[in-house]
Amino acid sequence: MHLLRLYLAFSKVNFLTQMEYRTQYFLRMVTKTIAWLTGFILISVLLYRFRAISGWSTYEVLFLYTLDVLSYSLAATFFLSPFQNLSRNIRLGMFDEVLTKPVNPLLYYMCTKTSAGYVNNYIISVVVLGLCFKNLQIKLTVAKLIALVIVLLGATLIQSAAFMLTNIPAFWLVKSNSLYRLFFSNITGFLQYPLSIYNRSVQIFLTFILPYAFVNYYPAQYFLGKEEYLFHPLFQYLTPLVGVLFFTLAYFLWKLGINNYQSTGS
Amino acid sequence: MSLIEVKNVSKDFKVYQREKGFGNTVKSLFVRKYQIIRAVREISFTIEQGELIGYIGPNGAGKSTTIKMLAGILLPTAGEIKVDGIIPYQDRKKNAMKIGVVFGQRSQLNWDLPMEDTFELYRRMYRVEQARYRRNLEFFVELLGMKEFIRTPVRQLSLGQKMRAEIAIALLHDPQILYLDEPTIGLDVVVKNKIRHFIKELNREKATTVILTTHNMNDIDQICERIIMIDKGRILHDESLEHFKKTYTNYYYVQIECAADSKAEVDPRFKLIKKENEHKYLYAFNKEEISFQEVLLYFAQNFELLDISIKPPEIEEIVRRLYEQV
Repeated sequence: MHLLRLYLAFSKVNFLTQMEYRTQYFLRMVTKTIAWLTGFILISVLLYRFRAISGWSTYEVLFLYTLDVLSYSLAATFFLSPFQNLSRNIRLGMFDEVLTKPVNPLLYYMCTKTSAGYVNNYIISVVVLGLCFKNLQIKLTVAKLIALVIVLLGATLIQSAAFMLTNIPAFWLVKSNSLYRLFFSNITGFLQYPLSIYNRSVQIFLTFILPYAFVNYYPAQYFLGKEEYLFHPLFQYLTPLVGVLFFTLAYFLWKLGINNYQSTGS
Repeated sequence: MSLIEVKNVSKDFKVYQREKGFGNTVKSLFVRKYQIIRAVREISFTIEQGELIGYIGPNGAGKSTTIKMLAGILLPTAGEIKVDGIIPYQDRKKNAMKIGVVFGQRSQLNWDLPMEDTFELYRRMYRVEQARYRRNLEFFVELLGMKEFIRTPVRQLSLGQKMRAEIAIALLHDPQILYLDEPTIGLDVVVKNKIRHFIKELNREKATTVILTTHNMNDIDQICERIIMIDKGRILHDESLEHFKKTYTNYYYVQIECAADSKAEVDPRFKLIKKENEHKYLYAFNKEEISFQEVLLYFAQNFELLDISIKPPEIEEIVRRLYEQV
């Protein structure tokens, strides 16, 4: 309860801060909206031309994409800004502050940097998700809705862990943005299309090494009733478990990192 | 049990060496040489509740490193630290409730909002009840003179105003210990005095233990009761300010101004420190060797005096001399 109230207090301050620069805030919203819409449109155009990708129809691919965008936006709300700037904060010694607060360091660090800039993403994603369900004639029962929420939580944990894992090396290397860039500008591109169209090694990589396929591909099998099991039919239910495990790993490394934090000279 | 116990604490840093030249830069991508720098070497001390400590030493002596270990930010490589019975880096949350930290070079304030908003946030974070919060805020606003800028966005505040806000925010939860790392750096005399006065007052009102690192000897002189001096990671002195001054203050200064250009040879017991012009000289003497009376007599007889003054050494002087020795 205390933490929740504290979190709300922090959110209020963050929101007020971002409102200090209203124009910038709305401009960012607009650019991001355009960027995501472009993504959706591209997929639609592509599939309009080809009808289907290895048996996945337009709306099924859109469903994949939306799961990715929505969980990414949820994770980014809390983790993007803190972890994108982790290496800078470490280099400049600004991380000192985090370790002298009576709150869990990760929680404090997230709280101070939570972003209010993803509201548009949520709205677009939810609308597109609705369109997908309607056009694919999937009935959204209460059980399905609960499953969707759980899957989204699991996927968000995976995406959050990825934000953390790609930036935590900064505790040892001080400057390390390359991993993060590689990951989020290249590897996640694979998520736009069903995993089954890729080479076996990519499938193995995105399932067992970086379990990114659990963000959208495997849970989509469940929702869309796809029976193209790449490894095991059970995988379609594993997203929450993988999320918890992947996040636990990230948290463990984060704790190691904190204890290796060297601060700066003064 | 003392409030702070530091036993044989050392801290090593790995420092990567960079060599000149493009070839070496490429090489360093694969093999990097590093050196282990021992920033703090087996230091030990204890501090009691309510003490006002000046932690001094030249740049790079290990002051900040020590403070950061006490605050739980850094892990010591070896040795034991206990702050009010807690190992700070193991129990950061509990430790944080007991301490207030101000790093002169860094800010805890939200740049874009008035400081009152940040205060409110800290009140929640440290779970300070409204009544106590109001009382503390009043006390700080009054003593630090912050009334006129409490609703101004922090980015528009002057350095002195910001520093006062930083100190206030570190103290909202009534910590037992306050770590101040160069709090007066870059401030004007008026604000410096305000801050010094405030720290004294705080210590009297709430018995807050204060550990202060500074290069400004006036800070030490006016705030501290005890001096711990560190250099190259080792503690050189740990004693009361009074004792410290007494031990190193045999040397007094005598400044004279004489009418005519004095050709007379000066007694070798007076060491010429500075010759400002043909008429103005500054000498140092050991008061064990010559009494004040003798000094006055000597100069009165041998010079055509216009002015004479005898001054005890400033603590800055003493410390500078000590730095030069080490």
